[in-house]
Amino acid sequence: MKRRDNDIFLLWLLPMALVLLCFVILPLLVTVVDSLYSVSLLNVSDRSFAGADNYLTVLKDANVRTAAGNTLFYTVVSLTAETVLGIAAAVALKEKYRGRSVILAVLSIPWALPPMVNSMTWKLIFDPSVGILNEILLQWGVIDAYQVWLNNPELSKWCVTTVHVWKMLPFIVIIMLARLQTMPREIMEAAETDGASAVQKFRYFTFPYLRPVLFITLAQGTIGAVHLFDEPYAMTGTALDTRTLLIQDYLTAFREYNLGTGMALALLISVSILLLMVLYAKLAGRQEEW
Amino acid sequence: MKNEWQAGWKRGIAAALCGLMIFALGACGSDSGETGGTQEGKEFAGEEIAVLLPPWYEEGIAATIPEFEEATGIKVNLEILDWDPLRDRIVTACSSGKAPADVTEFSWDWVGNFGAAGWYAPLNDSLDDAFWADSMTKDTFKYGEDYLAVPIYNDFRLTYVNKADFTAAGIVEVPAGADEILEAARKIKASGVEEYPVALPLSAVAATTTPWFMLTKSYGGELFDENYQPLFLEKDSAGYRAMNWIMTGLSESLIDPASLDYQGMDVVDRFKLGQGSIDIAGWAGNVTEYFNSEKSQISDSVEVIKVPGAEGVSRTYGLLEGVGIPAASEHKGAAAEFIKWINRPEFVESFFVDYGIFPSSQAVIDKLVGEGKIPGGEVVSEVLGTIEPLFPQGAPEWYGNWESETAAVMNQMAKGQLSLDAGLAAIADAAAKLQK
Amino acid sequence: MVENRRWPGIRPARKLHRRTKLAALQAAVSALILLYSLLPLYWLLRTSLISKEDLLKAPPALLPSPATAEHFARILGLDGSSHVISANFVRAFWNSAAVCLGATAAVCAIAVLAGYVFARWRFPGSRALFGLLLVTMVLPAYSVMLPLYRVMTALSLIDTGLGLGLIYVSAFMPLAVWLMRSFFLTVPIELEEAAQMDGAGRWRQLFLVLPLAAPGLISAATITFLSCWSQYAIPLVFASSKAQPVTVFLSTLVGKTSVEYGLMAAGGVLSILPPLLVAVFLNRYLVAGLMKGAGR
Repeated sequence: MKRRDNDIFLLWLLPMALVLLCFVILPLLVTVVDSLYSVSLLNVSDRSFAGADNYLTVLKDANVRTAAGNTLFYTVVSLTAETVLGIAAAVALKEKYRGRSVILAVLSIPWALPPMVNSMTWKLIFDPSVGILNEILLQWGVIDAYQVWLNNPELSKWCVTTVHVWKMLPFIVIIMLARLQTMPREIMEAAETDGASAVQKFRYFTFPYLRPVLFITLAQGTIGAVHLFDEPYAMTGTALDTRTLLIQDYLTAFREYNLGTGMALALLISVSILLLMVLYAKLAGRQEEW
Repeated sequence: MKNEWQAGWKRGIAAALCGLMIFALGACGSDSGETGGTQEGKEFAGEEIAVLLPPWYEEGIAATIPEFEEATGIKVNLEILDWDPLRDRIVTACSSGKAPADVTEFSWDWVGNFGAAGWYAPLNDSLDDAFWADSMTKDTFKYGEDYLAVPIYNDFRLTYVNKADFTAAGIVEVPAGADEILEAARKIKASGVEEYPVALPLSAVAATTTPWFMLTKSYGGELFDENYQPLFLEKDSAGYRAMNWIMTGLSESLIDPASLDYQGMDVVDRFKLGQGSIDIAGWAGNVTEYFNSEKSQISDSVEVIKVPGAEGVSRTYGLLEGVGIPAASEHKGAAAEFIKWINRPEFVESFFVDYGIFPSSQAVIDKLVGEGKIPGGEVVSEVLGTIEPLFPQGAPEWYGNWESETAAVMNQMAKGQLSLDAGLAAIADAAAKLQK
Repeated sequence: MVENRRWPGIRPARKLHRRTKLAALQAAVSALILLYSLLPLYWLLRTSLISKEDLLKAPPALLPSPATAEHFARILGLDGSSHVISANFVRAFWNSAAVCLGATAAVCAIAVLAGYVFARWRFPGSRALFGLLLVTMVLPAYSVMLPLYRVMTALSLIDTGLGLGLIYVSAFMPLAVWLMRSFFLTVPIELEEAAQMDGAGRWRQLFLVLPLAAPGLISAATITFLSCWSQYAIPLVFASSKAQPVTVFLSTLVGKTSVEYGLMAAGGVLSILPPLLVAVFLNRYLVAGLMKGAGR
């Protein structure tokens, strides 16, 4: 009886395993192999072995280096903003109050919308002549003339980061909130009776309790930032000051018609992310879930 | 229990709303696609073709589609994409063996790559010999023995000026020299007539490179020598002076900083509204747009001039566009009918007169000039004599890619991230890298 | 009430003061959040309702007055103008709806089955398999995109809803499996054991337990649907024409000419309605799902 039961289980695992195999494992292996070949989009069957050439080309390409620098900027700034603002918001929202569920619903909206539409919306806000940002800042006296935002190389990355963080923050806040809500009340009350200040409460109680989820928020935030494509592409196209690694990969494959190099770049990106995950796991001292 | 009911109720509403909306949109979207008409002489009746074109054809093509559908019984689904996404779309579709549409745009610089890849079907037999004999620019689209596209837009560039601005600034005669016209722009700005006299795009798109290429020719030089080595690195070279012209214009605020966002169409749209005094790399076809009082606010004061260049020289180049049929199309016959339709002399003429698409049919041009239907006709005829190919030594197969890189570099230079020398060096490097 | 040793007499007032301070903070944060989420969306809505002439006027008007429905009419093809835009928009919207709903259904089916197995059965290699699943969540789609592109080409699935849907399934399945497994783990095994003793097979047991894990299923469905609807880079390559979803279509509007803001905005407003409705009405499940991954 038991053996037959577990056979059913194998059957149930089958769809998942098939999808995994056909759409992830096999293509990944093909990517690894093809990255060692010189393959052109214009004539896919005409390939020649190139060894590590594609990788060297990628590493030497100035555009790739620029894109990598941009991506690093996005990652660092996004993670910082998401962590700081996320913790702040989660702490503020920790206690249940009337209407909080509505507020949470509203908070989750930016995360739920397509980044392409977010980008379009913010592009309208940032518009140098008819955008609301310029008008508001002018009214408040922050600036004395309309500024160019997205096409100003000093500010463009900050603008893109703002849109990205705008989307990611709700997600981070919800995760942190979930964690905070499982924090036992007695600990905080004990701290209060001992006269702990707000800062001390945070430093010695709240933050250490949050540490384990930092792995998750940093991991998700990193994946989101390194995979950044929609926002910069929609707001500034292929301009070099905002170009990300994934945009560069797209251009390598579909404008330079160079598939082999494109795959090499994609693999390098994947490996970087995996290494970062391992780093986070070690830092957060995360225990294996199983 | 109660919670589940509430949850279920909310779920129901959400689902119903979504469903309702989808249904409503479906009802809105179903057009009355009735193309009636008899069946005689319509061998492709009932077929549906997709047509993919850039924005400047939209009005004219959309206007003629109902007639075409009526006459042939073929239904047309028109899709318009801006230049760079259009090219990307064609590349991604063709490289996967699928047709991006049944009739698509085909640019002069795609012949080498797309021909080698076999992505487009030969059109030699789709049109009769008389047509091919009449077409001025058909060889541009020849790959081997095959014609991969039918020329449709003889887009060469010339310069438009808003004479009223010049007069208001006290300039009587529009200068013919490039350096002199820049000086005139300074005067126009100083006099307060126009804040940003020079109109051109500077975003990281292909259209940004056109003014530079054009001015290089007009300054009397070429971009590359016979061995495709860059000629624009020398300070007295035409290419260097041309790039200097553009970047100086930007640094002196003769060009709107918002140009960093502009694509080709934006320049046209704004010039029509009276913004800017000099459309330096204007489209030939826009003679009808700019001079048409219904479409443009400057129809009384706009003038055509030859591209300003070095002393006594004026040259320009052509960006020929055609339409082709992807090899993977499953409606080649119907697609060919469409191409024939938009190449009928009557349509070619109205395409120009009403919508600004400059014809590539010699016969039509002669007729129009003779009838005086080309505004600024004498100048245009003169300019026709100054058109040269961008690459007299032949367009290299790496051109398309290099053009993209150049646009990105020019965008960086415009943003102040690269100096003039560093930018030109980067453009030269890009060419060298692609030639390896 | 806890005895406060330092200031015994002041106890009640202090607690009240703290409570009002907290309420003020909550009110402030709530207001901030409302502005945070809704202000940009208001700007989108306003741009979609303002007339073309008013749009280009500077300084920009805060309220669309008079409000006009011309952009919505145009993008839906209701005003009889050229159908170039509306036919494509409506088709794109349908594409999004069909592919997202289809992919979500498939993901849910796969996730229920696989999640249950991972929750109930520890077999040799199950930990490794589950770990593998999680690792794939981390890979950028681009590391598998180019070969997938060639596979899809060979199978003639490029630019089809089916091809795109399959890619979505492969992308969002791991998270859904994780979620279902988490939710199934919270269901006590006694129910199934009792059923098993009564002679019920595995299928029966699953369906017995499913209603209890239903919130998890809705969470997984919600998150998957929202993720599918949001996709842009993948359909840009895999479904750029006939099967084009509404996000890709909108980007063609953005690129065309910068003065068509109203049209863009109208398209934007319409295309965020489904995710907006889902996020607001199914928010409980959305949040529960996200929290499940974190609330250990």
